[in-house]
Amino acid sequence: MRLRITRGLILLGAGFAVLGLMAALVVGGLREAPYWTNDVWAGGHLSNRILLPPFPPLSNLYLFNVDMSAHAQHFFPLGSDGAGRDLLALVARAAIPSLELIGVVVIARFAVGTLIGMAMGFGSAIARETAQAFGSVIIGFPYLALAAVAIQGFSPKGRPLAFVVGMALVGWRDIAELVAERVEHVRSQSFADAARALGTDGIRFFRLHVIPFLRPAIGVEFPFQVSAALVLLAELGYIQVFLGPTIALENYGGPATVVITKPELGQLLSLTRDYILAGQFWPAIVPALTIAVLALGFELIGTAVRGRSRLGG
Amino acid sequence: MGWIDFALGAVIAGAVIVLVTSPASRVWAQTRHLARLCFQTSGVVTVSWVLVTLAENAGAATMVPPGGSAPVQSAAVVARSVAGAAIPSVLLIVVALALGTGGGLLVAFLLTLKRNRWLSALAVLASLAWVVPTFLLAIFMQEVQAEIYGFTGIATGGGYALITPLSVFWAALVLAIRPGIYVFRQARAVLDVEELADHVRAARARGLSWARISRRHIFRPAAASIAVAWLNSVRLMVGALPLVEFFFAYPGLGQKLLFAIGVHYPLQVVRFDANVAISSVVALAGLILLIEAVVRLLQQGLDPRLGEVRIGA
Repeated sequence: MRLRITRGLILLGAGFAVLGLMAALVVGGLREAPYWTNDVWAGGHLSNRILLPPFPPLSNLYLFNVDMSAHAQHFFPLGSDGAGRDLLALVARAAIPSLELIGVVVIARFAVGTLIGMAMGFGSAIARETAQAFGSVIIGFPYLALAAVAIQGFSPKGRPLAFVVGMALVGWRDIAELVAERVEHVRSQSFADAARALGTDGIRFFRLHVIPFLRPAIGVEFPFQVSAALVLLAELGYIQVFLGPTIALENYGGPATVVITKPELGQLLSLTRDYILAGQFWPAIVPALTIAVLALGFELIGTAVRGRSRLGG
Repeated sequence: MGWIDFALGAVIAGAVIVLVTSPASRVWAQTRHLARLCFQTSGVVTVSWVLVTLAENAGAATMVPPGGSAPVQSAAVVARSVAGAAIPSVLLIVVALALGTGGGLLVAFLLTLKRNRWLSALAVLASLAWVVPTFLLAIFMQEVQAEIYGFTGIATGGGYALITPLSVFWAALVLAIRPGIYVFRQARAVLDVEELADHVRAARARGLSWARISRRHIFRPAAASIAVAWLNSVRLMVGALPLVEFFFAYPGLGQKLLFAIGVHYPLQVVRFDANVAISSVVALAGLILLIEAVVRLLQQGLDPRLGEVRIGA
């Protein structure tokens, strides 16, 4: 028992440490002047060596722009993208709208999923069949294609709303299925029959007998949902579906440079394939790793919460 | 026959099954899955048609190139093209199921059987790879191929945009990792809860061997819940199929679907093709729905109490 509590606390601490580290990186990135995320730099030099972007991590360079009219010195802790913009500053500015989006998406998924799951588990045969059929239609789709098509379809109503609808459409059915499965499991137990015979019904039955079984299941599902939403955002970005407008500058013989006015993590990943084909790993890896590390933080916290809720019953 | 006619036909078929078989509850317990399959198919076709039409009308610049929509192909041509792409996709999914969900379940069962604390901790740590986006896993696998080639001089990639045993293996491995981890984690959570059940403690008190307790008192009652987790992992796998096929240029349904909704490689021109998009979605969804129907029947067989709850509600 004590070992499990210690393990849970270690996981919880590790999760918060990871998220704290990411928060520190974001704060550090936000302290960079905005022109390090907006201006395009043609190259940089150190001693007698000239480097073209993307610059590797830990580069400290004297930079010049296309017409050699501007010069500045800058330290790139995480390197730069293909236009010489600081990846730390870009990722920091991109993380905020992305996390806001993920928060709204996960809330929407849980709200819809729990309601429909309860209808499936508790409702009459017709209510259950209707809810299941409705949910099964959505879950029948390949998630990435559903999200991409829904986002495109709802884009005229506003890009952020289209993303919330498209990304929430994808995950709520897992929650509904889980809630329904737990409710069915409880209803099939002998203690549920005993509780009903004693007159425990409705909200009281739900609070006393269903919630204790739902809590660990949702505790496991929550970090999965956050990380799945983050990963979905990254995957949508990889297939060039992302939040907000960009301007693409064609580079002959190299990947196109995307000028980002309001950075978002999906946008930063939209050129991953081109960067990889050009052998430029850092601009592709840094935003992807940011998403993976953020997801890891939530995952660790969720695992710790799962352990604690199991101990609590 | 248009898409809406097809959807209407499926609804009528489902309604006939409900009207004819629902009065006899024992027959209905079996035919309800078939009726639901009809309604689901109808819903999938309708929602696909609505979303794809919305996306086509929205005509966002990033997705629909200036060329506009493709000329309308005959139903036979579309069906042939989708059926041709379905075979490689099914092959990929079958291999990925064996590698991923099969492997994940096997590891979860073995860890319960062996009860080795260090192996369990190692597996839980390894399962944190869940947070890595699929395309990052694909990049990692390509690096592994490059390292193998650099070290041994043997090309293990299996060719780009080709269907060879090696290319299927690598694509299936990438496709399998996240669903495998998902099913492993969910199965472990269910098995952990089952291990603490009263009947397991009673069996231990009676002096039964742990192997027998695992087999008869843990795996068996947990099988219905694990089947739900397995089904979710299959959905995750089919959902990620378009991304994996797009990354490896694997000529399957997923790649065809992305091309049909306007996602393309650099320097490639594709046209939005609503019929191919809907056909591809319906084919992938049909696969998921068919597996779901089989799993739900299996689940009822594994835990007869669920069948009684579903009929009795």
